[in-house]
Amino acid sequence: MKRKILPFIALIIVISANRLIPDSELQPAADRPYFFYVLCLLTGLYAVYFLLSLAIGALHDKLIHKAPFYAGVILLIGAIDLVTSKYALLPVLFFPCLDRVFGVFVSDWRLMGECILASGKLLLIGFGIGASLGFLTGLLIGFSGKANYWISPLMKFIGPIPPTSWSPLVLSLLSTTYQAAVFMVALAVWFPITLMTSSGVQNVSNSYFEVAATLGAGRWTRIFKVGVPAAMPSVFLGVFYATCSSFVTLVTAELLGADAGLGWYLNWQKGMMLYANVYAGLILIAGICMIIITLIFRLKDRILVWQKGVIKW
Amino acid sequence: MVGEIRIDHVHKEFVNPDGDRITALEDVNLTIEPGSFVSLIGPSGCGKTTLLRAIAGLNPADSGTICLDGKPVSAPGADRGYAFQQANLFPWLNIQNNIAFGLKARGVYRQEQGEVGRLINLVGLRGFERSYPHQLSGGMCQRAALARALAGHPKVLLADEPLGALDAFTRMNMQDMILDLWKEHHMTVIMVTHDVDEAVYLSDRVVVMSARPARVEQVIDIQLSRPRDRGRGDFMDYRRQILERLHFAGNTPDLDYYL
Ligand SMILES: Nc1ncnc2c1ncn2[C@@H]1O[C@H](COP(=O)(O)OP(=O)(O)O)[C@@H](O)[C@H]1O
Ligand SMILES: [Mg+2]
Repeated sequence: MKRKILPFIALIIVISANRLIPDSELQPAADRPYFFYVLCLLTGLYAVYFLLSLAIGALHDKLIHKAPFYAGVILLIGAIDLVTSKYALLPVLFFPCLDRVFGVFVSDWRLMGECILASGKLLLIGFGIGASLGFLTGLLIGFSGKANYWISPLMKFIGPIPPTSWSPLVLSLLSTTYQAAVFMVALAVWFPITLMTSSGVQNVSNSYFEVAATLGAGRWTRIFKVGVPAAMPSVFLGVFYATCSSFVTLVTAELLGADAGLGWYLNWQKGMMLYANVYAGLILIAGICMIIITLIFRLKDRILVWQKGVIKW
Repeated sequence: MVGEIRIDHVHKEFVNPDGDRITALEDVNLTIEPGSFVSLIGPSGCGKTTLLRAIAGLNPADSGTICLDGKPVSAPGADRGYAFQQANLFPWLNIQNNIAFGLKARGVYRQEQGEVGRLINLVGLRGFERSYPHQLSGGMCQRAALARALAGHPKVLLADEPLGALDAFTRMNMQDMILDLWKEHHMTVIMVTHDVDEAVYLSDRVVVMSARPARVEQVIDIQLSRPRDRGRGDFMDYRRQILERLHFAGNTPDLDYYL
């Protein structure tokens, strides 16, 4: 119970500091105390969470576990507030006050929305192409000795090269920068999924294939009803790696001349020396990445119910 | 009756990682009558699993032939069900779907839908159809594995120490269950065991094998009516006879034989 109060204490400390200590003269003032609004919003959200946890047992256990962490994060943000807004200990051009950073979400929301849509589309197309090709390549390598012989060395060769370093070649071969960006995202996704699918298939215990054979299963059943499901945990690990690397690649690929998207937004704001906007963009990207990864984990838990208590990662 | 197995001059060698050749089966000859219950017993490491796998077609013999109803076997097939030493249930399928796997794989699930439910009842797993293997005990997994091996009505059930990992109590219950399955399905059963008691309790014939390389040392007919009483004198006589035979073959059997 005491642990669950910790985030409230942290919020009170941070809000008091924010309200009582005047902003440094060096910091250009924001038009509104947006950071204070964010703190109020957090307090409200946490209060709801807290109240729900009183009624729901599972939520209570989770909150007990997470409460100190939340409190720590809140204190950290409070410290950043002190360092930037209150005492301006760092160059104010590069470290704007939090009021201005959060203010960007209000002033730029329309542009940010467009950027999310543009990046989302790019990510979806690139991920779709890369993941399906990666899955197929992985199955091929996993099940066919010949494919393994010819493609595996190629994988080892291509693997360590960051996808974006293909840009000079790709830009000269493809007709639009958009296609180039799709290609690079697809490549970033293809590699980890191919690798994890093939190693997943190769690590399937032979006894499962033998069981299937004695039950009269043909070749396709053995591949798709035994090899594929048995390799699924590994494939999901690949999807997880692929998501992370697709984000990294996405942001860089959009620097190549896109006219919308999160990477483009960051680059453009940096060019204009609007660091508050850059930070807001970073927060946005981190938030979206976190949401996507959470969704993937949910999906994993749903598809891989059978491995609860069998494998953990 | 179908399900006759004829093993003729079967020979099998392995090359172990050091490059040494290991003769696992040396001139094994055995005829197993259709519909009979036969136990293979012999010292650990002699080649019982190798013989069973050869019959299943999982590792073909180097020379000699194995015939099922007169036709040589070369590859695994649904006419020979195999219950592995570890249950080896597919962890991603629930019990119902594990048992239905073979029927679905051969595209006869629609015609035989009742079969799965019937087997689930027979092996006492009613109520666990939707459970996943990791949620079941070892004995329940073995029962599910037996049901899976029987789902396609194989002519022969090959079982490799299916009860080896179970406690004594569960084991005795499952021996009776196996007898029920055998009577119900009218198939030939070839079961590897290292438990003399189990062999005498279940089998029409007990095949005693020698230490490596495995040869058929002696085939003992168990002429006792069922249900058999483990405490009776003639039961004990068969037990002693098999134990002596195992000793005579130059093997000190595992402690298990005496338990
Ligand atoms: N795949 C294999 N490669 C090499 N040696 C093997 C292989 N399978 C079995 N053997 C050897 O053959 C002999 C018989 O094994 P097995 O049939 O498993 O004995 P058991 O009677 O205990 O079932 C053992 O010595 C074992 O080491
Ligand atoms: Mg064995």
